[in-house]
Amino acid sequence: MRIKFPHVLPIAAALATTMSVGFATEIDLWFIPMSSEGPMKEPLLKWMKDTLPKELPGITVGDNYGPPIYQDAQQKFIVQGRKGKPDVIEAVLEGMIAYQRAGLLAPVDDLFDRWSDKDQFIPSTIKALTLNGKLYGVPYNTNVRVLLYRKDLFQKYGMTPPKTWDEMLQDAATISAKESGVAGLGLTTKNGSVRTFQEFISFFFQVNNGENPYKYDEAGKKWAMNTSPEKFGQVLKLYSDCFFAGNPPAVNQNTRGNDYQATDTDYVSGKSAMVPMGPWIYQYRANGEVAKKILEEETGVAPLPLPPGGVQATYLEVKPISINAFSKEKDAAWELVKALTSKEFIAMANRTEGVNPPRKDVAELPEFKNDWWEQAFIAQLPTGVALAPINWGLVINDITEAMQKAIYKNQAPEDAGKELYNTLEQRAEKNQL
Amino acid sequence: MSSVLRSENNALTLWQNLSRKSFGYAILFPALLVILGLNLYPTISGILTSFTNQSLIDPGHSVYVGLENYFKLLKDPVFQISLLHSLELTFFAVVLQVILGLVMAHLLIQKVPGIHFFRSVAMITWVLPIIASVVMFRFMTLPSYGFVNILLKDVGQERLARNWFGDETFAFLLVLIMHLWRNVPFYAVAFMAAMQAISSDLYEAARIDGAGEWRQFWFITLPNLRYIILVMVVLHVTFTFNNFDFVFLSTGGGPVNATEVLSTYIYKQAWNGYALGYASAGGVIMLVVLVFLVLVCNKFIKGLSEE
Repeated sequence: MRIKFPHVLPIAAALATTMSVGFATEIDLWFIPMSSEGPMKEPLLKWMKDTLPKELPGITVGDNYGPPIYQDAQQKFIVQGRKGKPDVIEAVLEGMIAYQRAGLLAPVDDLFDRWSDKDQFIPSTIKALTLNGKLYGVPYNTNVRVLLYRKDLFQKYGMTPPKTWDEMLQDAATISAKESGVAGLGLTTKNGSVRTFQEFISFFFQVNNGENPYKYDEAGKKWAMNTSPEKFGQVLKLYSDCFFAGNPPAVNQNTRGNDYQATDTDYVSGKSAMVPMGPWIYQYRANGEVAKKILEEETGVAPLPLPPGGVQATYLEVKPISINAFSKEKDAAWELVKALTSKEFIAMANRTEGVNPPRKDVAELPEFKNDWWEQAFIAQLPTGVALAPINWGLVINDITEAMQKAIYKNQAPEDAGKELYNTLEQRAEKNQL
Repeated sequence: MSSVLRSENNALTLWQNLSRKSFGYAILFPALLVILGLNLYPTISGILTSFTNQSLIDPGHSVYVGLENYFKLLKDPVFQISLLHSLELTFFAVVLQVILGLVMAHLLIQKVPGIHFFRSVAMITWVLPIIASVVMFRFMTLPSYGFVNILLKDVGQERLARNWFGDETFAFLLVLIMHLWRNVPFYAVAFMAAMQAISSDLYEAARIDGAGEWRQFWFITLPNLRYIILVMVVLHVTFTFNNFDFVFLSTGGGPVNATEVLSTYIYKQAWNGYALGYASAGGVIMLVVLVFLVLVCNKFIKGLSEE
C-alpha cells in the first residue's frame, strides 16, 4: 500500500503535537484562591485554562493549585519546599516572610529589574516584599484596613463617620442602643486568628507612630522592642472599652471570640453598623440582595478612627507570587510569575475580589478609576504599614491572647499590655523571631 | 552405626529448626521493617529532636540544648494549663461516656417496636467526619443565627444567648459535649453486643431469687461487661488524651486558653512558632503521660483477669 502525501500530513501533525507536549516545561503552582471555594475560583480557573496557554506556550501548569487555606499551604510548603515543588507559590505577607526565613524563596531582583513592566508597580508594595535588601516576590493584590460604616444608620441618627476612638465608641453605643438587633461595631477576636491580629495591629500602628513593635538593631544584630508597655495597654484598653464601656456597649459581648466569618457575615447581613475591614468583603455581594444593598448602597468607607496623639496608619496587606528557591524550572517559573502579575491578570483577579491593584496601569483602568469602592480603598493605601520581616507566628498568638485577656476581663488592659510587652521582649532576646 | 545415625538425625533436626525459624523471621521481617520505620524511628527521632533547638524555618542550625526545652515547658503556664485540661477532658469524657453508654445500651437492648431503626441511627454520630460534627456544633451555637440561641430567644431566655464557643465558662463544656455526642453511641453499641452475650438463665435465676432490675444490672450485667468496658476505656483514654481536631476546629484552644489541650499547644509551637525542638519536648511529655495512663489501665485489666 502506498502512503500518499495528504495522508502523511495528519500523522506529521500528530507527531509534532506529541513532541511539543513532550518538550513542554511542566511546573506546579500553588494559588490559594484557585483551590478554595469562593467567587474568585471560577474566573481564575477559566483564565488559567483559556488565557494562560496562549500567554505561555511551551509551559504547562499542573491543575492542582495547592491547599485551599493559607495556613495549610504554609505548613506544607515549609516541609516539602526543598523538593522543589511547587515551583511558584502565592502567599500572604506573613507566610512569605516565613518562607524567606526558611530559605525557600529565590530572590527575583535581577529578573524584576529586567522586566519592562517593573515601573508599573506601586513602590510601597515592592518595598513590603523586599527582605534584607532583596525582593522575594511580585505583588498581585494589595489592600489596607479601613472603617466600613452604615451610611443609612449614621444619617438616621444624625452622626458623621467617627474620627477618633472615643467618637467610634460613642457612635457605636448609640446605634447599639437605638437600633434593635444591630451592634454598633463588629470586631474579630478569635485567639490565634490572623484577622484578629490584623485588626489589632492596625490600631497599634496608630499609637506607635506608624511603626512595627520590633525594630532591627544593627549594632546588636538582633530584633529589639520598638514600643512601650503603655502603648500595648492603650490598644487593649480600646478593646476592653468596646466590650464594656457604655450600656449597651459598642460591641455585643456575645460576639467575643468571633472569627472573621462571623464578623463579615454580621456586617453584610445588617447585624453590625461598623467594622474595621479590607476590600475583599465586596465579593459578598453575591450572597444575596441584603448583602448587595448594604455593600453597594448603604456602606461608607472612612479611615480608621485615631487615638489621642495617634497617626493615620493601618495594616498593609500585600499578596506576593514567589519562586521556590529549589525549583528546577526557575525560568519557566518566572514566566508564570510575570503572567500572574500582568496587567490583564491583575485587572481580572482584583476586580473579582474587589481588592486594590498593586499596578498603576491597572488602577488607571476605567473599571477601577470610576469605581467608588476601589477609589475609597486606594485613597487609604499610603497610610498602610507593612509588617516587619520577622517570624510572626508566636507573636500573633501572644497578641491575640493578651487581647482576649482584656476582653474576657482576665486582666486589666494595662497589666495585659505590660505582660505582652515582656513576652515579646523575651522572644526578641531569645532570638525566637 | 547408630551413633552416626543419631548425629545425622540431630543435625537434620537442627537444620529443620533453623530453617523453620528463618522462615518465620523472613515472614516477620517486612512487618518488623514497617513498624520500625513508621513507629520506632519517628518516636526516637522526636525524642532526639526534643533535646535540640531545631526550628522548621532554620533546619540547618540545630544545636543540642540538653533538657532546656523540658525546663522551659514545665515553667510555661500555658503548658501547665494545657496538661491539666487534657487530663480533665480525658477523665470526664471517658467516665461520662461509660455511664451514658451503659444507659444507652440498656435502652437500645429493649425489645420495643422500631428499636432496630434507633440502633441503626445511633451510630450516625460515630460515622460522621469530625469536621462535619464540629461545623454543625459551631453553626448551632453561633451568636446571631445559631439554633440554640434562636431557641433560647423563642422561649424568652434571650439573656442566656451567647457565642457558646467564645464563652470562657461554656467552651470547655461544649468540647466535652462534642466528645460525648460522638462517642457515647459507639460505647452503647459495643456494650449492647456484650449484653446480648450474657445468658438469660442468669437473669431468670436472679428474678426467682427476688432480685430487682437494679440488682440484676449491678450483679449480673456489669460484671459481665467489665472486659469490654476496660477495652473501651483504654482505647478512649488514648483517643481523648491525643485528640486534636475537636478543640482545634471548634475553639483553637481559646478563649483565653480555656480549652487549650496538649495537642493544640504542641501544634501551635511547631506550626506557628516553628519551634520543632520545643514542640517535640511537649510531645515526649505527652507520650510519657499517656504511657503512664495506659499502664494504669492495663494494671486494672490484669487485676481483673486474675480475679
